[in-house]
Order: sequence, then C-alpha cells, then structure tokens
Amino acid sequence: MAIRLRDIEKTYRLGKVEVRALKGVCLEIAEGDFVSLTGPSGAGKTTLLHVMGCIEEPSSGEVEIRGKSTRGMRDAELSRLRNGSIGFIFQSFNLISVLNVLENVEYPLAIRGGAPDRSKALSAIESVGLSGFMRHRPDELSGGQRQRVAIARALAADPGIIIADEPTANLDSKTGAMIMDLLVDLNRRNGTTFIVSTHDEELSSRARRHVRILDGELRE
Amino acid sequence: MITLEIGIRNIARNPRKHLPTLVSIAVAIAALFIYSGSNEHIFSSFREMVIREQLGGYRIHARGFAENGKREPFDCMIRGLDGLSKGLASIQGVDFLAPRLHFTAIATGDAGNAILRGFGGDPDSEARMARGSTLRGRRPEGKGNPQALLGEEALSALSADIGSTLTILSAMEGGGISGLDIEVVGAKKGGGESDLENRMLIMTRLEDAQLLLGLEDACDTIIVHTKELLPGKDMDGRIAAFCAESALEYEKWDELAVFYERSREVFAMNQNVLTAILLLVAFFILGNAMYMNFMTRMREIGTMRAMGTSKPQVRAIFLSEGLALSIVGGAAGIAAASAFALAVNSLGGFYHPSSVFNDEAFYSLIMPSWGLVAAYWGLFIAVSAASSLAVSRRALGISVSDSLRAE
Repeated sequence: MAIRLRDIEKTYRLGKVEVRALKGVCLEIAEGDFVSLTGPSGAGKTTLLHVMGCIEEPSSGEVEIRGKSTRGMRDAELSRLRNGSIGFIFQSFNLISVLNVLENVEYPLAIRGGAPDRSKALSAIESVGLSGFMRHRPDELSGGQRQRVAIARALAADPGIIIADEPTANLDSKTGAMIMDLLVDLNRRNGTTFIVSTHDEELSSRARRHVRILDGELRE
Repeated sequence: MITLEIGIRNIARNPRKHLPTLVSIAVAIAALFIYSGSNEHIFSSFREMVIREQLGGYRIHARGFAENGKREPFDCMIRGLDGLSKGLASIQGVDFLAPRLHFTAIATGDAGNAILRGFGGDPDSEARMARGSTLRGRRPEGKGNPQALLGEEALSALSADIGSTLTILSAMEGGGISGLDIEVVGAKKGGGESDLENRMLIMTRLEDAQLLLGLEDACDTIIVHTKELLPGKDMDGRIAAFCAESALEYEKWDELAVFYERSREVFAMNQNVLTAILLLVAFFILGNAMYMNFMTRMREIGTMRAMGTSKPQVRAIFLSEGLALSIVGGAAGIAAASAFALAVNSLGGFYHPSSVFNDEAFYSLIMPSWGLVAAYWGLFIAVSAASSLAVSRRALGISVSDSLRAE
C-alpha cells in the first residue's frame, strides 16, 4: 500500500473558532494507482494532500507511507521520508528561482548529500521533453514548461508517490490537458503512484480512481 | 553545498534588493576602520612623544629612591655620575642619557617671589628631548653664569622676563640654605592654561643645580633613551643587570606613563562602545533585511522543506546569505575606508588644534591596526551569522504547510 490514512482529523484554530478541515478521513491508495481528488474550494483537498505528503501533522489519526507509520517521527525523519518517497507538484510550480532547470530537477537529489546522480535528473528532464532548456532559469520559461520542470523535479528522486496539488490550475486548458497526459503517461510507464487534486472534472476523469472531498469528509 | 549555493545566489542575483544592507555594513566597518585608525595613529604618536620628550625608555635612580626618594632625597642620589654614565652609554641599544637633578626653590625677582620646581639637566640631552614645546628665548646651554628657563606664568608671578636675574634659594645637602643668582634665558608655555609647568617650572643646566644643592658629580635620575622606541625584553635584561651591579633601580616607560595609559583606556572604551552600538544596529538591519527576504520567499522555503530539505539545511541557506552580506559588505567597507585613508594621509591627515593634551597643533593620519580591522570584520560576520540564525529560527517556526500557502 502506498498510502494508508486512518481516522484522520485535522482541526485548525482561527482565533476562538475551531475549524475541522478533515473529519475522520480513512483512505487507502495502492502502489501504482492514479487517484484524482476533487471538491470545491475549502473542502479540505490541500489539507488532505499535505497530510498525505507528511508536511502537515494530523490532529489525530494515523498516516502510513509504504507501510511505515509516521506517528512520532521527528522532523529529520519526516524530511528523509518526504525526500525518498514523496514528490510534490504544486499549482504555482514553486521552482527555486535562482536555480536553472537542471539544478531545480537535481535539487531533491542534491540535498541528500554528496554529488547528485545527474543521470537521473537528465532522464527526468528528457521524460518531460525539456532537454533543450537545461540552463534556462524559471523566469525564462512558459507556465507549461515550468510545470514540466516541477514534474521532472518530482520524478528525479524516484519517489514512488507523487502528490500534485491542482497542477493544471494555473495553465490554459490545452497546456493543462498536455500536463495531465504527461502525468497519466508517467504513471503508466513508471508505475509511480499519483494523487492529483483538481477542480476540473474532465481532467479528473482521466484518473483510474476518483475521490471526492466535501466539508472535510471523503465521498468515493 | 546546494543550500549554501542557493543562499549566495540569492544575494548575488538580487544586488539592488540587498544594496541597502551591504551599504549599511560597509559604512559601519568603514567608520570603525577610520575611527580606530585615527586613534591608533594619535596614540602611537602620543606614546612616541611621551617616551621621546618625557620619560625615555627607562628612568634610573639610586637604589631605594622609589621608597625614600621624596622623603630623603639626598640619601637617594646617584653618585659618581660620570663613571655610571659611561657604563650606561656603553650598553648595547642605548641611544643617549639625560641625567637630571630635581630641586624645589624659592625665587625672588624685582617685584615678587615664587616657589619653583624643576631640574638641572645636560643641555644637549635636554635639547634632544624638548621637541614640540612652545618656547620663547632659548634653553640653558654652554658655559658661564647660571642660567634658567622658567614657565611663562612663573615669570609673570615674578614680574620678570627673559634677561632678568633672579635669586633662587634651596636647601643643600647637610641642611644649609644656598642662594644662586640666575639669569632667565627662556620661557616655556605648555598647552594647558593653568598647568603646573606654566606656574612652577624651572630648568637649569645640571651644573647649576648641582651648585645650588651643593652636590658634585651627582643627580637623582638618569633618563635612558634607547635606539628602539619600545625597548624589548633583551634591553630590559641589560638595564636590569647594570642596575643590579651598580646599586641602582629602574622603571620602564610603561610603568610611568599613567596619563598615556589612562587616556588610551578611555579611548579604547569609547571605541568598544561605538563597536557595540554598530554591531547591534547591524544585527537588526541584517535581521530585518533577511526577514523581509524570507517573507518574499516563504513559499520557496516551504517547497524546499516539502522536498525533504532538513532544518539544518534551511539554516545553512540563511547563514550563507548572512555571511555573504557581511563578507561582501565588510570587504567593500574596508576597501572604501582604505581608499579614504590613503587620500587623507596623502593630504597630510586630520588637523588637531593645540589643546591641554598637546602643546602644538598636529595632523593625525589614519593608520589602523590590520589585526583590529580583521577582528571588526570577524565580529560583523559573527553578528550576521547570529542574525541569520535568529531569522532562520523564525522561518522554521512556520509550518511547511503554512509556508506553502503563503502568497
């Protein structure tokens, strides 16, 4: 199992008001699956992705990543887990502005210490069709190209699980469709598990499994 | 390494954004460079003046002088001065000697009396020591009738002037009172308006003082001037050995230069206070700049953390940014201050009018101690490291999730 969530609750405190963002969420995602997560704004999509991605601790419940519970893990262990097992793709691409394409893609490998395996980065860049843009900086690329760099970056560390938070939201429909095609293709070719949140029902339909979230509760 | 590189590139790629911080650090270090460099030169000149014109490298007295010299001066005279002087002058490293015989006298002029304190000395040696003081007339010199140089105010008190003859009275060895008619050949005025020297000074030839006190071939002090301005331990050893053999005792210049040492301490304290203020200001300027920088890159930091960047690696990014700012800013400040110092020094230095500290106006150069400049730079680097770590602590206090949600 790639991800297992058991009775996940997430409560935020906004001043004196408590907001229950996730309400007893249980979810199992198999290795190699392609899951779309849909729901209106404020339904808890991003919170759920952050909990699955081990960047947000649930208020209660348990998260297992590839059979390993994250409960009680220290920050350094969580960082290693994220680096080794989970790749992220964000709506706003979130590339590191001072690094070029190759360096951005190499980044998850470089922070492991020692010299990064450049062949992995080159292969990831090639798989998203950006071999001709290695030395370009993010501000020299179009939105679609930037998102492809972000995908290559997520792939380079060979994480097994990729979490994409509305990866097509900032792109025009044609580019969005191309990005979705790329994700589906990578899932098929590499067997990488994808969890993709989106507002777009058409894009959602490309996934093998659909999960809908409403007011912090899952409706599959 | 990638984290360090990101930090450095953040600075290098956004020069305009970081310019105010760089300039602030550069100005602070340049200010310390110039202030400390100017002080350094003033105090090294002051020290040289104190040694060359007042104290010499060593002051030699008869054994027991420190304990009894003021109470029983005639028991603490250096006797057989000629022989001892030859021996001292032959010590390696000795430049010249200035024997002195101090006395207190009552002077009577045409229209008044005054108490005078001073000494008789060897004219040639005293001339070599007496650079820079304001003088009217001349110093006692040559042979012939007794002659003296007095402080300007002492002369006024006696209604006398150059060319006047005064009668001076003093206690002799053995208890008698001796009197000497002495011609005023010069007047001296120190920098202070009411200093002791102006009111009481009398300087005569050594032979006149010996005549007044009824002594022969004797003095109470031999000032030893060395070829090196600051004599070292070898010289100390040679002087100590000579004194031990000859029943003499000695004091080194730094034991006697109380005013110099205290002045230096006061200036050093001022300099330390200024340094502390500038470091504190730098801490907040750097911290503020880096915090603003972080606020604009909060999502980037969150992304890095999401990809598995550890807390120490995030700290390394902030640290490298802070270090880059302080190293580059410090280097720029030192380069600018060096250029300024070069220009000021080539134009003759800063003008200082005469004051209570200096008889004559002088120009000070900017001559910093490079060790001190390096220490200041090091302190700014340390402060920027502390400031960076304080900001990284705040940055790491924000959850990854919240950082990613930042606009």
